[in-house]
Amino acid sequence: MPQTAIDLAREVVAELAPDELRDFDLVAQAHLAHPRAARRARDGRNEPNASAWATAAPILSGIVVAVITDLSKDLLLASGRSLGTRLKARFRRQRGDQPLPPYPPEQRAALLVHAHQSAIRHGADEETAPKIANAVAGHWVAPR
Amino acid sequence: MRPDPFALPSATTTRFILLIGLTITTAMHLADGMVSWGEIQRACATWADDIAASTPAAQVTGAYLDCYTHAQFSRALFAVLVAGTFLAVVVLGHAVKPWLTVRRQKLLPLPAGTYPEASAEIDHLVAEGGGRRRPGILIDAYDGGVAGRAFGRFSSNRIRLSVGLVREYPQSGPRLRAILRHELAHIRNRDLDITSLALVSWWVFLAITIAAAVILLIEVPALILRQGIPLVPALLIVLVISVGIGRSREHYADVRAAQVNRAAGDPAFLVAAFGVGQEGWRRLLLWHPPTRLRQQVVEEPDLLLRVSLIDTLATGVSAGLAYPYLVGFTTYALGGEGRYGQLLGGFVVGLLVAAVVGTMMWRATLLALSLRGGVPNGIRPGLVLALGLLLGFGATFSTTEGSLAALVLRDWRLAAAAAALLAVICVAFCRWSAVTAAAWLPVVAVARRPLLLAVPLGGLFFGALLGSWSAALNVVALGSPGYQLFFQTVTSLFEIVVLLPFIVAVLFPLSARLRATRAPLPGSRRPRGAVLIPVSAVFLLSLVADLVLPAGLLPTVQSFGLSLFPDLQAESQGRVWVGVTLVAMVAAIAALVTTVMSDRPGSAGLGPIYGLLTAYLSGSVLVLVFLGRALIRACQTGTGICTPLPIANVLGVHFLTHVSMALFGGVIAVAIGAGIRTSLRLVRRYRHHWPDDLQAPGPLLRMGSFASALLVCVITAMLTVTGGIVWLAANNLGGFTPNSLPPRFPDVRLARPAQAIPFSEVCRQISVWRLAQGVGNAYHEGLLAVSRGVVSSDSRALSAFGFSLLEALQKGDYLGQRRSFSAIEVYCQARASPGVSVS
Repeated sequence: MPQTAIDLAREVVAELAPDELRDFDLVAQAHLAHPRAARRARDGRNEPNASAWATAAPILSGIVVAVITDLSKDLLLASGRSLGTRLKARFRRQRGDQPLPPYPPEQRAALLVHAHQSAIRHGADEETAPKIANAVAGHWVAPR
Repeated sequence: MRPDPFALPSATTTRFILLIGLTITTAMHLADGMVSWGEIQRACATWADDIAASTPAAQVTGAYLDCYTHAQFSRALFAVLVAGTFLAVVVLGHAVKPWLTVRRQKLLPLPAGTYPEASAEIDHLVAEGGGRRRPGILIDAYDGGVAGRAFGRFSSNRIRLSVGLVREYPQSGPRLRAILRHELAHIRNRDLDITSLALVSWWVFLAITIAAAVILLIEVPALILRQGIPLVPALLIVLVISVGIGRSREHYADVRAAQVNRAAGDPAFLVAAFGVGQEGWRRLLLWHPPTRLRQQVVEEPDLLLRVSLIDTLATGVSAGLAYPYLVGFTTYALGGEGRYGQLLGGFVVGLLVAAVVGTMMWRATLLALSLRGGVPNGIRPGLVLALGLLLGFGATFSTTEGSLAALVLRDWRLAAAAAALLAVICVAFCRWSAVTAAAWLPVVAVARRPLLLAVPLGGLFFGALLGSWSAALNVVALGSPGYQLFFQTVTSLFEIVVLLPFIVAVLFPLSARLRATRAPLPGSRRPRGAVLIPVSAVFLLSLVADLVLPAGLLPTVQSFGLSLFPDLQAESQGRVWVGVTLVAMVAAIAALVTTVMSDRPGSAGLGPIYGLLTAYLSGSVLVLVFLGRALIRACQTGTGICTPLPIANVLGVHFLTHVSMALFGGVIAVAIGAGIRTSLRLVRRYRHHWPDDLQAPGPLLRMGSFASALLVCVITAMLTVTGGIVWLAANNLGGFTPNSLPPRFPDVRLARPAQAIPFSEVCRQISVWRLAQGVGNAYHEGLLAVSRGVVSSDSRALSAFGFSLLEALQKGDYLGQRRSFSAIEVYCQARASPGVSVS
């Protein structure tokens, strides 16, 4: 089982798009560090001196990182007992080198659903989102 | 032959000038409205009332005018500070924008180690693009697509590439090359500063407008409609212009990049690299045109040189919106001098119009010459420019002053006549720009150089005529007879600040004839004898008449004229009026003949200019004939006049008076002649294909040495005479600024009556009198009536001004009369607010 979010994301990307491994560290760190910048890019940019008006095309590595970040927050929120802990979990920025909590096997079905929704939210299409969800589940959920 | 779209300044450069001009002017106006300048002016009036009891009348007048002038200068300085602050904020915003962009978008330097092949290709493309400073290459790690953008400030440039573009290399090679060359073209075209400044200007302008609207709503809600509504079209125009700048720059970058692409063997425009773009109404708000249009412009770069009626309309509206505020500012800057404030404001607006519309006509003429077409006639852009100006004037929503709206309310037919006159001025300007371009473009290696002179020159003479038209509109809107509209506009040529730009503008296209052809463009043939024959005829006929008639030509004509119009005999300047009318009629006939005779294939539209030249020369030769024998006799009898200064004095006075009237007649004749030519042309076009103005390709026919020498002599003589007039006027010689007039009303004595008249009633009577001032004796009698009325007012200051005016009339002090009357007018304006009592 992967130790950190970056490790997990790397394993998923290696399975789904091995050609992205070349610059995985660059892209993943960027998405991890500044998720809002990624969202703004997808909103489309109307800028002078650009090549054209366009919306940013999502990158698989970035989507995977975003999905894992969302799922990690959900886990922390669910396990947080106090309000302070839950608030910290919601607003704290995810670090790539933080150890990942194990995902309980009995929550695999829920993970698939959440991962699918998260992938769609972060720009994956209907064909790619289930693949991402399955790959994340496969590499994160601990075997029974 | 395809024209080079980069030979002349692009539409974006001139649009940018328009944008900055409109935003600064509006910002100045908004800030001006926040200060109670009226209170300051009333304070001067109150102070004048206070000191009038114990100070001589002339000193009160001088002191009050100094106070008023000081207040006006303060107002102008405030406006300059506002403009400076606006510019500083815009420049500051532009300077920090690249840093904000990098920070907000979290851009990263291109890691060459991660993308070695792409980095090598990028280095090669950047080196291919040239440029002194290598732009920084950044990547957007959040975009897996193909996109790029150039941004930066003041030569510190950066290019952002999407990570998808570099990671997929070499598969993305063609798209990488297309996009990077496009971005490098932006840098090479120097787009980055202009577009960024345009964008920042828009945001700053929006913020100022919102703030002003909020303050208005809170402080003076009653004025929100009148002050606020003109802001709406201003905002829309600024937005449209800002975005239009960006879209236009995209086309120029595409064309520049296409040149590099073709040279490298790549497709000129790779649609796959740029997507489809937006269609429909949304594209009006986007910085990028639809991709299909971009491809079309790459294939037909001539489209960039064509006349844009939308640009012309926007220019007209912007100029019309800005004009009243600019005139206000220039009036303050000149210490409250209304007439010259109007002229200076007109000059500024004229420069704006010339920079945009004039340059556009040069581009269109370059295209026409390259395609062997006719010189653009300027009718459509001229009419659209006039429409834009009228819309802009109308949107200022002023109906209380002498405005277009007030004139419409008074008499719509007069308003229509004013609009028609404005249309003539605008069409004439557009045509002049095209004709000047057609004259200069074939004879220069660098097309921009003569344009640098044509723009200020065209701006000056267009602005002068616009200022005169506006002043005439003002007078007619307040109730003057309708003919004053045309009369005042054209007779503004009497002012040296209007006459000089007009003459130089006439000479400018002709002076191109002195140069040999440089560019492979067809030129025009000179109309043989079209100018010299009528002028020679005028000279010979007038000389013969002067020799044959016993009293000489001028005295005989003057006596004949006075016999026809006996009323003129009572006028002190009656004989002068007859003389100048004769000159105007003769010059008009000569100019009409020249204008019509010049209508030959190959004249390239110079006919009206030759017509004006004929009028000028006819007036000049007539003056020489009038004065020749008298001066010779005076020298022979040794009366002391035969020295350079007195001769220059006499010549100068007569030249300025008669040559101005000759030009007046010439303008009318040229307008009629142009109308005849256009009608004939339309008839011929209906029946046959009208041959192009410019015929067979090939270099311009070289002028013979005799013709060149003659032209040089004529131009030198004109400049010498005109320069002499300027020198005389600047040194107050020759009666140009008549320091002394005949003393009048020596026996009149005035005193303040026991029962004073309210100053408001006195001011109302003066405003009525201004509309029908009369000329000659009637004018001075009117001034006497004004001084009587003003002395009787309940305001001590006004009373002092009235005594001062009478004193100036009795001394024949012209300047004193002007100052006293000016003080009266200014005082009445300052006291115009209701409910103000006089101390």
